[in-house]
Amino acid sequence: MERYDRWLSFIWMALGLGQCFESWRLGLGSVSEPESGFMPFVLGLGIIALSVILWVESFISRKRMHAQKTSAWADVHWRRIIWVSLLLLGYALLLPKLGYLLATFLLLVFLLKSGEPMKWPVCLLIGLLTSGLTYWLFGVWLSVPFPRGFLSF
Amino acid sequence: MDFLTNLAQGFQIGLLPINLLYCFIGVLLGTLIGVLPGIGPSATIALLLPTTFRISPVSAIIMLAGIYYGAQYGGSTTSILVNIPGEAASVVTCLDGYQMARKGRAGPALGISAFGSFIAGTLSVLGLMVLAVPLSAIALKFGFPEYFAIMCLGLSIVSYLGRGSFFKSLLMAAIGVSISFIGMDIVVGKPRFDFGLLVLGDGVGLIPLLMGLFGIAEVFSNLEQKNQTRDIFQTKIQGLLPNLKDWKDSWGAILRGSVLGFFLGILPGGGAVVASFLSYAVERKVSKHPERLGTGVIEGVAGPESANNSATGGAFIPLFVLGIPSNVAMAMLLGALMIHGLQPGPLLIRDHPEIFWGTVASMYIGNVMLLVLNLPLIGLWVKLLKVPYKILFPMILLFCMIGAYSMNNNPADMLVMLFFGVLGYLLRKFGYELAPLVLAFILGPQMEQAFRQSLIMSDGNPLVFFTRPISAGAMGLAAFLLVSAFIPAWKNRRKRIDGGTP
Repeated sequence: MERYDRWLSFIWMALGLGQCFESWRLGLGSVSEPESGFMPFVLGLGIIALSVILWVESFISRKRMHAQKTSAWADVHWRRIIWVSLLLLGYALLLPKLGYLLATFLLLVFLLKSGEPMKWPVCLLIGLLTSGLTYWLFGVWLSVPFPRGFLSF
Repeated sequence: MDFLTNLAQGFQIGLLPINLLYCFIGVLLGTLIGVLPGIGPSATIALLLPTTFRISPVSAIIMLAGIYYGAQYGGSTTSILVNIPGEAASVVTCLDGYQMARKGRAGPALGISAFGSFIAGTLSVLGLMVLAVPLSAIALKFGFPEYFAIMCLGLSIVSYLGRGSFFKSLLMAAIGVSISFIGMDIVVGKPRFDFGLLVLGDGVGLIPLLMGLFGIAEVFSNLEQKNQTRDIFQTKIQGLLPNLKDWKDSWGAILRGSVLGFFLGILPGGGAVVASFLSYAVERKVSKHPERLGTGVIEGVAGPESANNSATGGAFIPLFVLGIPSNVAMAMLLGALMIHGLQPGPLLIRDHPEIFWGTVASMYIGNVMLLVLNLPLIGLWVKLLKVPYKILFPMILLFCMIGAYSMNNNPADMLVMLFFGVLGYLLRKFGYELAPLVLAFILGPQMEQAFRQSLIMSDGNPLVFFTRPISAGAMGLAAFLLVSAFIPAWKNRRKRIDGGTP
């Protein structure tokens, strides 16, 4: 983990520097009349300071962490997480085109299939029922204006 | 006299059929998610926040508060029967609760947990009622420097009590405040940090951020594990009412847990989890047979379960008195109040007494509902544990997507939520706490305003934060926490606290 911490501290430092630069560009004003960039600039400096502390801390904790053999990244089901993320991304992008009912039905069916093995008819049934029920709950009862898509529903 | 009049007015509001319905929905959902491991009260409040847009603010807060304290009731069921805590605050209940179940005493364990929760919950509402009004009168005298200092102290305590590195938590708080800068500068109306993106023009929405960090990230964390099966301890649950000996053994633990939990609930970052662990430690200290704790003794269930419920009442004090949330669930309630156009803080109790007293009265009612719900429906909750996660997680994700979309009816908000979901998952994996980030994000605009106004009113003198007694005290304590993280002896003490916190 300490290796990741070291790399992450560089990312935080870059973020802090970026924040300071952008704040300076916005205008700092003066201490008696602080402008839009004043507090973000001060906080940016704080982020840089903390990233340096974390960088140093990663060396100090190295020995302790070395003894800890099991990594938090071991046995992670990466493929499933990436697949689910892509499904959600696709849903957000396709919702206006496909409309709520179709997009939600497809999302649910693929999400159900992405977990432990489940038969297609069960997935299709749950997808159909849930998309219909949530449409009624949010679209009809709570009046959320869902996009209708090319099929007009 | 005012006190009784206000309480009577609160009950008039709380007993309205519509508010009774929302209170019931809140405590029912709270118990449900408390029972189900893998989804917490924070994620549920985030999920249901959009459904409250079209109801009155008092009904919305009654329902969302019900989810929060209801979850503490439900969390014990899984700890006792499955040895899996439904909530982090119920981890310690596993120690004696599960052992009691193995000895065939699941009934009294569940019973004392429900009764202890009821007693503690009621006592903490009483404490909230008695303390909040006088404290809010004091808070009215606070100026910008005091508010800024107290918010700094709150974030420092949340970071200090968080898991892992204090500096990582502090960094998360800094990142949270930085995210709150995105959008329009509230003082001069100037756009900043939006990178020309339309979706960031009004800043990062509270709902997409919360749902991403607590809904999506939580699902990802559960999905990364290989398939898990839950073994429900096969025992017949009978005799839910504790006998006289059980009561004799438990009453002290319930009272101690109630007092401890209430005061720890007030502390930022303290809350139900720390309260339950400290209550267990106290029971071990005061017990004549400390070696028996962990083998299935009833006070090991009664104390922590009372403490975690009592902490929920205490947690409302900083929210209502100062407008400063002490934990993530309270931060969500703060967000809910703000969405409804209300500014939590000392003026809330004065200007909108119906919100405060209506919520307090509903908490009494909710505690009675929870007692009625928990004891007869335990069989149903056990059955719910059998709902496979493979069916549950698509529903949670869908609710997150709908929630983010319904905020502005804009699909781009779903992308923002997904971004925070992935970010939250990765940050958790790298050992970063998300609670300081969320609290800081919510407090960010108030902090900036208080900071800038303090400097303007003091003509640019930064010592303004250190020359007024309350702000000096708060800043001094925050500085002490920061410095203590560098001192080895204090660092070790913090680790010991951390070691007890799941």
